[in-house]
Amino acid sequence: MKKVSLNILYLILSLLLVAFILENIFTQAHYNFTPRTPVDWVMKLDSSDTYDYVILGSSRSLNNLDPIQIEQLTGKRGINLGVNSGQPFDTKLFAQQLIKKRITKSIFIQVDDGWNNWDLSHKSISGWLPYTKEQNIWEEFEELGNQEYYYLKNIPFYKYAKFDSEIGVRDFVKGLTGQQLRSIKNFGHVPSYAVLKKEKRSLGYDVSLIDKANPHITEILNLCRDNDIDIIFFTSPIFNASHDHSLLNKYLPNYFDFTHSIKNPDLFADHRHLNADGVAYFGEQICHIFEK
Amino acid sequence: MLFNSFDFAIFLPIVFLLYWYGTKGKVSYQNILIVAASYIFYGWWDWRFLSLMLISTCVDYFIALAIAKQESQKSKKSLLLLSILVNIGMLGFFKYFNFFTDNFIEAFSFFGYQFEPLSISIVLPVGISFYTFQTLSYTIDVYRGKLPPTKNFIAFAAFVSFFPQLVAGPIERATNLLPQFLAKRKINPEQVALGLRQIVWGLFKKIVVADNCARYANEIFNNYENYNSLTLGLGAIAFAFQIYGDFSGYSDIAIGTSRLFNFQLMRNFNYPYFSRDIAEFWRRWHISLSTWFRDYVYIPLGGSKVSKAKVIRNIFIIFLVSGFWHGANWTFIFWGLLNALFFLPLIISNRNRKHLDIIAENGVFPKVKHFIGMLLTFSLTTFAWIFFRANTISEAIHYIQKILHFDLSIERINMNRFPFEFIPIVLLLIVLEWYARKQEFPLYKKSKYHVKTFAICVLILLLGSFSNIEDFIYFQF
Repeated sequence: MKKVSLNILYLILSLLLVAFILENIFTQAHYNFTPRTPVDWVMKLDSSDTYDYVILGSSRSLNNLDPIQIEQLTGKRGINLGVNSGQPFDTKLFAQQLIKKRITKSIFIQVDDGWNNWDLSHKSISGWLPYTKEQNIWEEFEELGNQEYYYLKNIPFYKYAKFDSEIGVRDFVKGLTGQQLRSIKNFGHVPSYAVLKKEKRSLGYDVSLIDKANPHITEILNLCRDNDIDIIFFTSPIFNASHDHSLLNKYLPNYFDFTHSIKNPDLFADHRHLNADGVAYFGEQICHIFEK
Repeated sequence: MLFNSFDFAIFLPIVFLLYWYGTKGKVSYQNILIVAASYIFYGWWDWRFLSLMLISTCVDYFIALAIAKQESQKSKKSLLLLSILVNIGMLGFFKYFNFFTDNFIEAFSFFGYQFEPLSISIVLPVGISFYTFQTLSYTIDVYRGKLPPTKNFIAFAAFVSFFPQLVAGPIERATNLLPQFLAKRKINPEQVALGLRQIVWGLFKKIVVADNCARYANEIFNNYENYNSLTLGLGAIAFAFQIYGDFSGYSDIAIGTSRLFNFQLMRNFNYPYFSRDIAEFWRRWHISLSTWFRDYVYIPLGGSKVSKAKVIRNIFIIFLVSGFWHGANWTFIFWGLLNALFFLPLIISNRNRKHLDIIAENGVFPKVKHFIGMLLTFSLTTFAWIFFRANTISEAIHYIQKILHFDLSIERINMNRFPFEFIPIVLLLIVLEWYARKQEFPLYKKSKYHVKTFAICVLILLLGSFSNIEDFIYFQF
């Protein structure tokens, strides 16, 4: 039995060693290979990559605003760093990097009922995990006080196994073979070509906001003020929304509410996301705030 | 508690250490520990249903003792019927109540009679189909005089609830497993090492093969209207390997875990996709259930020692019952019927026992006719799996109709994966199993420095679908 126990021990130690090696290879791939996530993209930007503006937020930024159209309308050059299921916590991390690297002087942030979310979204956070060895990024995770993130940071390869669909082996291979994130060629915008289904058009979308400042947004405001960065908040259109987001005027400077600005269901992919025609229409509505 | 969960990774070593080092080698202590561990394992899912397992255990324990005491055959038979009534009654209520009432109401509404819907919310206790069949086999074997009833209640409770095979088999026979609970057990390092290798192999089949295939099968079956023939065909293949990896992976983990405690469970899968005809497939797929139905239904009906017409009747009964055992849905019954139809030509032509050997036993590659047989058998079983996987029979027919459009253009699947990355994973599984087809499982033989086991562990780490851990399919049965 002693021999078997020793063999089990050797196997576990060897696997830990392999996990440690793989952890380092995969992490280095995020730093050195072609960007596979919006986080890789922002981490690779440096002060020579300057933009007139950067858009942050969730899929409601990613899908609803096209920087190419905005450049055509306003002459301003920018990128869209919205992420699927993005929350104020991720937005803060993006804002910190943009300011640290002096990428832009204007940040546009899409806000909506994600305002209520003080934690992070598992789906959107995976992109940041390879970078948790960086002290300033880890400090933000640490403040959340969730033990799971400690394990994700410190157990070798755990983050890449747990989030295998987002940052696992297939993304490693894509990075290795130079297949960069497809949205980069659209300056971050991911268009949708769906049209809101007819049977869903009669349904409404309930909007309710907590009447309390979101701590992550407050931190972003302070950071922008300290670094002399213009910050503009806006809410993208929602089809059949029960309320608007005017409560946010109480907490946010430079806030523009477009919740009810589009009524035509043919311009929506679903209640919260515009399709390509909707993006073109919304671009014309919103371009004036980029011109300022 | 799932075998592929963190909870089980903690639970198993604790039970292992307590079992070998905390029981002073006493069988009675070991059995008590197994019962306690098994009830914790089961209660982790839903403690309320522990009572059902306890009822099943008590009923069959006392009935078996009573059967042995009876002089007259009539009294013995009455007691056996009582056991069958209790076990099948519990199974019938929890698994089939809504199916029967819904179909009853629907059938009568066809003739103009209207009844209020009677569906009630019933949670199916996990593993009930498995442990009821296992306890039934004990009572039937005692009735037949194949086995004396045990007086050791704890050993019997351990036999019924043995956690490695409690929720999804293999469905053990009392003649094989019960004596092992009564015998003295010592730690066997070779069995422990072999068991660990089998667990690793089972995890590979579950986490790498089944869960990756599941991503594709789920997406394609759930949105089959949006996909063309080629994609739907590949979706059916993905499901064929999902269910194989899932269920045989579970069986490997169960058998491997039992080996850690020095128990030998029966083999449940024997490389079924290398079968050259349907009869061979059914000798290699879910062996513990197939042989259960053979011994307790098919043979009592006369088996193959009756007229050809009755043999055919018996085959249809077996497959229909087997289909219905899987779930209360017409899709499973139709799946059973299809398999019976595939079996029919072999029975009629007396070729159902043609392939009893190992394929390409003395060579590397199979003969061309065997290879064609394998492909044909796989195609037939995959065709039947479409009914098994679909939610309704009409959905399965639509799925097949779309395949028959023969639109073979390659299309993009709506998921964050490489197009059909499950194919290389499946090919890897086929190659590993092909070269191991003479062994119980590919890691059966110890390799130098455990290189093979280590390589499989690394593959699990790299290719495992950890973000999408699926429940074992057979838990729902």
